[in-house]
Amino acid sequence: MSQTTDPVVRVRDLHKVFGTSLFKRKGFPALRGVDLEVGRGQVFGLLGPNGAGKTTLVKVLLGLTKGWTGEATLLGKTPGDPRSRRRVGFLPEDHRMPPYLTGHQVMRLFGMMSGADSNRVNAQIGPLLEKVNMTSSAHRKIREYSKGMQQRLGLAQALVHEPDVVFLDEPTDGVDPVGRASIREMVLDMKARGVTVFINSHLLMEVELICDHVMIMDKGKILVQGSIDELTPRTGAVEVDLRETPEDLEEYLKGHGRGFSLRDKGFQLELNDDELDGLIDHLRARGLSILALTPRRLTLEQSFIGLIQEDQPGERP
Amino acid sequence: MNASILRALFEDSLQQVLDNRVFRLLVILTICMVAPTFLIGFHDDHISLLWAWDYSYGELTSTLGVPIPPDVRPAEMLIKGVQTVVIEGLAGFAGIIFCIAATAFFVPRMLEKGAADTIFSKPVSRATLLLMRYVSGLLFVGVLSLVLVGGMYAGFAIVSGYTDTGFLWSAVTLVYLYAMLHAFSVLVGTITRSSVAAILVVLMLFMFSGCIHSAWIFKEYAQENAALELLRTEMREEGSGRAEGEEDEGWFLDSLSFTLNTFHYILPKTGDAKTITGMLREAVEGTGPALEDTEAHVVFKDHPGAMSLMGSSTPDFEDPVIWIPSDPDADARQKVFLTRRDRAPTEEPPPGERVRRLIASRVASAFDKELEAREERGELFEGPSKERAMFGPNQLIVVRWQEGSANDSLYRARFFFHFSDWLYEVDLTVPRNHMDDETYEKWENSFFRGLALGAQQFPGPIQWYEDEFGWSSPWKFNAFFSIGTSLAFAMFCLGLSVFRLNRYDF
Repeated sequence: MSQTTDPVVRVRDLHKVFGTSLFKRKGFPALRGVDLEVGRGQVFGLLGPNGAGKTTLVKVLLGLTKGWTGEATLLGKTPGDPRSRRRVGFLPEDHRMPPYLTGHQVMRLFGMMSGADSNRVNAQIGPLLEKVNMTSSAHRKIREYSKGMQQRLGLAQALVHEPDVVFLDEPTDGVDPVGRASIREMVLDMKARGVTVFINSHLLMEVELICDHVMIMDKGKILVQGSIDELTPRTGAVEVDLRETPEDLEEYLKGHGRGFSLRDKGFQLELNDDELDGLIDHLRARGLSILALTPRRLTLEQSFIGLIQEDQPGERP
Repeated sequence: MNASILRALFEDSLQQVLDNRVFRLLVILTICMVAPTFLIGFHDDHISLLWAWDYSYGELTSTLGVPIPPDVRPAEMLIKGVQTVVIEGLAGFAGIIFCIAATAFFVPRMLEKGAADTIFSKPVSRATLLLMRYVSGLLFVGVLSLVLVGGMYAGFAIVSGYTDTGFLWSAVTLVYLYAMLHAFSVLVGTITRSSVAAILVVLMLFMFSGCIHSAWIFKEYAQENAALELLRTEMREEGSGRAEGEEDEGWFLDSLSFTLNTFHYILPKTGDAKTITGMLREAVEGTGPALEDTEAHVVFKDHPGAMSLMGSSTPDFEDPVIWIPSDPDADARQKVFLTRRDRAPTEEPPPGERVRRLIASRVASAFDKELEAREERGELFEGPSKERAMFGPNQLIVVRWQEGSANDSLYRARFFFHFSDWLYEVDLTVPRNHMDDETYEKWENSFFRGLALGAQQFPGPIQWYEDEFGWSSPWKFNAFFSIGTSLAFAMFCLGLSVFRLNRYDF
């Protein structure tokens, strides 16, 4: 893997309109001036409602969609350039593997089609199938696979040629919870090895768990992008866990913060940073033992829904 | 594209073919067609079944009620018949349709959502991926053709002792025929992304191009025979009262002719595949006629009776055509002479009698009388005998006698037959010490089995076209032109497919 500091993906003012032809000038704009820059080794989450343009953006970068305008590079090359494609792994949404091949043959086919040497591919197949728990089914035909098995194999094939960038479109779709956990582990493992991972998913909890950076799109344009921390700001509320919760706690805390509510092992209260020290002193003065004190943040899902509702007033995201 | 990618694509193509159920079914059907060639042996005088039971051709004839003409080699006739039925009928028509149906999904399946995203994101150009799907189809048919043609060749060679290397060309022409149609299938599959549409449209093209080809041949045949001109004249005569109508009819025929020409030259010439196969077979076997009378279409198909022809294979018959033994150690007196003369009478008929052309029976009778006179003078070792047999549309009369002494006699025979405007005499001389009666009879039969009287004297359109068609014929009957325009059609289809595919958004 080269160690340059150039961004893996650079997109400037990207536009793509579908449905135009010689006789039909006005089509459907799928991308409307997208700007994006993704550095090496990031796990990048691409979020948005259906039809937001996420898959179109990925397909433009992979050279699967043509007729776009603006500037786009992947690994420093124009989209579709075979030199960059060799270093890219892709798990498409609703992908369909050749049903006449076995899992092992699919891995070999796609690995070698990516330009990797057959010995190198063969060496990768076993460990990867092991990681996605598909070793025992490796020599069965794809047509006999369940949806989840196909999804796990799809992920393995995207990695078989040891790519520098991986695009995963709904990677956990149809996969059971254990499989999801192992996919998360694989993504984190890739990140540790400096592989850039694009994840396009509707499962925001998952994205929140594994992504460094997130971009939220709607109607072909970017609504917001930033780190997970930036996209999940603190709400101002604090959750406090106590060893023992006295019955008169609400009465005792009157004058400290707002919006008191009891929790299982403590309480929640809205207060600013200056009020927090006073609260701690007040609790300690009563001899109450504080087990944990957690500032509340918006979840990614809450941020997402808020943003989409702002962008589509009156529509459900 | 590196070797690894190429290997991956080839392995994929192979797996796609091997996994195909229709392919497996066709392999079984092919084996079923090949198997009889190993189980049934066709020999000179009998047919053997399962290497154990022998049946004479006479038994076959009486059972099936299909007489085998006396002037043909039955084994060769039956083997060639089987080859024609299997290759031209079963494989060349039904088989090709099956293969088109079985492979039409190759491209549409690749373009299905989900499959396309994965494949086209790889560092392989769309054109390469499409062409590999095309190659998969060729591989599909190539394997089947090899099994069929190679298997039949091996079966006939091992069991019947019949080797016909030219027959192997049939495999190539089957692939050639399929290649043209498959290219169109790829185009339709790329545009519509539908297997059903690809199958239906290709079948329509197969039928349509066949019809156009036949209609074009009939048109050319009619033009060649001035029939069209005759038709025009009749039209003019009929329409003499209406000058406008005459012009309308002429315009119609010209338009029809132009349309036929256009379609014929653009579309793949699927109908020529059979003729090209025959020509390739001849080229390999070198079985062009050993001797051909180009004026009357009388041919000796090969060097008969282990005799070599002296001189030109297309003689002008100014001098007799002579065959001598191929074996240089054979008796030099063994010879065959062939002479030809015009059947038109050279003398004026007696007053009151009509002009009569020469016929074989009359000439043979006169010759027989000469021999009887010689026998009376004691010049022959054994007197003449005369036999008649049907030969083609006419009679063949043979007069046999022996000359010389008891120690050194010669078999002599003279065959008379007429065909078209010509009367032919074949004169055989064989030293008696060279072969016994039975051997002589076989030798004589083998000599005449290669003789064919042209049924093409008034050939139909198809036969006429096959005669005109050749490697060095004028361009519209030229085999290279036919192959070239057909391949151009296939390449155009593939080029258009690539053009369309490169514009797809997945």
